[in-house]
Amino acid sequence: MIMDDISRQVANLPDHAPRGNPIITMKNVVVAYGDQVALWNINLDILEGEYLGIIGPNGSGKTTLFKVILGLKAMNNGSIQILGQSLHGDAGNLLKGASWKDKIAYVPQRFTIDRNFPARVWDIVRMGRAPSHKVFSRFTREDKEQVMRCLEVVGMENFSNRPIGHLSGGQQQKVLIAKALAKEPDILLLDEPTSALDFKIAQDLIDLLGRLHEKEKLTIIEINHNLRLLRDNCERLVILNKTIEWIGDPNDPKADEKINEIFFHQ
Amino acid sequence: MSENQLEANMQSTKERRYFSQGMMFFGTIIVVVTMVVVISMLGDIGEKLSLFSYAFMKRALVASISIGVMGGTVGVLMLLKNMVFYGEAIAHSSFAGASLAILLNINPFGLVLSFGIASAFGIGYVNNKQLLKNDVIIGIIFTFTMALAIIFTSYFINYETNIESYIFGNVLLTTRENVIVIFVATVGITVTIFILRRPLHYIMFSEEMARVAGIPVKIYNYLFLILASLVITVSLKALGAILVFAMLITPAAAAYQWTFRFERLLILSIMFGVLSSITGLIMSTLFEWGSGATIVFMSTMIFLISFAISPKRRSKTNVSSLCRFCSKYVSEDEWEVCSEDCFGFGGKTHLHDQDDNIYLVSGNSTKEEGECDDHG
Repeated sequence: MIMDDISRQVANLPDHAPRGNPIITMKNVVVAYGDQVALWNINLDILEGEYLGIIGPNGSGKTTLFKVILGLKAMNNGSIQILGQSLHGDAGNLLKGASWKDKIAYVPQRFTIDRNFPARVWDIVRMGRAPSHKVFSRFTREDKEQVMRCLEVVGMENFSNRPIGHLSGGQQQKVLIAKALAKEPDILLLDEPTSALDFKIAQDLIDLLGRLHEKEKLTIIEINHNLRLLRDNCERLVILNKTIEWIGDPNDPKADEKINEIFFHQ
Repeated sequence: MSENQLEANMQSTKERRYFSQGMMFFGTIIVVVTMVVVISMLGDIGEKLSLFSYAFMKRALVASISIGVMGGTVGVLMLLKNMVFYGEAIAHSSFAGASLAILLNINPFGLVLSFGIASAFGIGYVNNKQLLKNDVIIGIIFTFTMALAIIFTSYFINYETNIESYIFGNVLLTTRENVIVIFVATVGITVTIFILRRPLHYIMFSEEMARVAGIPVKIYNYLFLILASLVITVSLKALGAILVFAMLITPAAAAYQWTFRFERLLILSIMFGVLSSITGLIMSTLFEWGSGATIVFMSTMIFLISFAISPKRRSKTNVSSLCRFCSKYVSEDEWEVCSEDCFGFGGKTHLHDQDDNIYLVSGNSTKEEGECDDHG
């Protein structure tokens, strides 16, 4: 049954998609908040260097899926294997088990930053580097160069000394992406990166992510409510509604049918 | 010089300007206070200030400076975590602890501290689980502990004697042991916060991201609550339950007007705390005002002046140019990089300087100069 699922998913890959090794393997993952099931029987292989899009209604478990990958939410059942390390549903303390965290970067849903928050763009990106959360380590020259490089990648190098609260929404989002990149991750998780951005800035951001994916060979998993934006970059699309309803090429007309079915019950 | 260096230079100039303005302000206050004091009390100033040679005055000075230092440090965190009213709730529950201790006729320090930490943990737990809104649980604990304190005092035989010193406090009455406790707490708290400042800064920016980065956010939050209740309980006797809160919030809020950098914010806040302690104590001696009240009065003055002349809010006044690239008025504060509508993708990234010159940044290294079409 499980093997069937996996082979079906691999078979659904479009021709241009990378056929690397699975970097994340989820098997029969079940997650519940109390007696509310958030994720039911998720079987998913995410391949190395792949750009995976996730779409689904509110409350369909998209963010919970990220929390499981990040080791913030314990599974009730099933197992997950990330970068060769595996974790089972009964492992209890996820925080201790999840040593892959250094290799996963996360850009959360947009949150408001206080206009006067005492941090410059530089400080925020530097938070992505390990010494900023390890008490007794120092910032090396390498750290600083990496921070500057990441700011250049997202085109914000001229803003490094600006207070973070003074930037516009799109600029803040780019800074947060730079912060995620500063970690030198293998996997980048983005939770609705374009929500609250106007369509032009959103398109710019999506283009930037596409370039990043090509240049840095990152594995990117993006949650977005905008199917058009997802189609720009994604090699595979997951339609999630507590469980995986459909997976395949985002340009497949079946994706539209399935989305209509889930969102509009047609 | 590349744009990065250019930008860095411009920015550091600006940041230095902010900081030096803060320093100038700091100096001005000292001068003004000294002048006021000298002019108004010219007659018997020497006689009054000779009080400082007494041991009790020296103790008061050490105690109030220490409170200024630790209040300034912890206050910054409280301000940035949007938790200022925790301080008020903790102060009032410590007061309940003090009244119980007086009733039982035991050394109050242990009870004061345990009441403070218990209420801090109560609020922290509810906040952590998001069971209730913050202000609801703070309001409940604040009023309940106040009610407890009043119930305890109704058993008192001679009401006025001791309990009033916990409401209003008197820094001049601090005992030798008290000063030692305050001093040790100050060193401990300040050193702890300076060592942990980077993870704390991260948590204050976003708890969620800090958790993802592997910072034990819960432990840090409880540690912060313990430090806050420690500050309040050790300074309770010196400043009183009503006023102690001011030493946490006011210097931090004043420092907040001057800088966008966390470390500088901490240092400025400590400096403002110390400044208001010293000037407040001197003024209270000269005018024979209540010591705690005068310290709070001085810190509020510092805040008011900072608020009025804060460089953060002065930006919209001096319009220096109408930029042809962004077609916007560029304020004096924004001269270094025009950020609106043209920040990199497709648009033209450019720098302004104070003389209305525009440096067009094209590609990575080249730049050309232009002039603004109009001048505002």
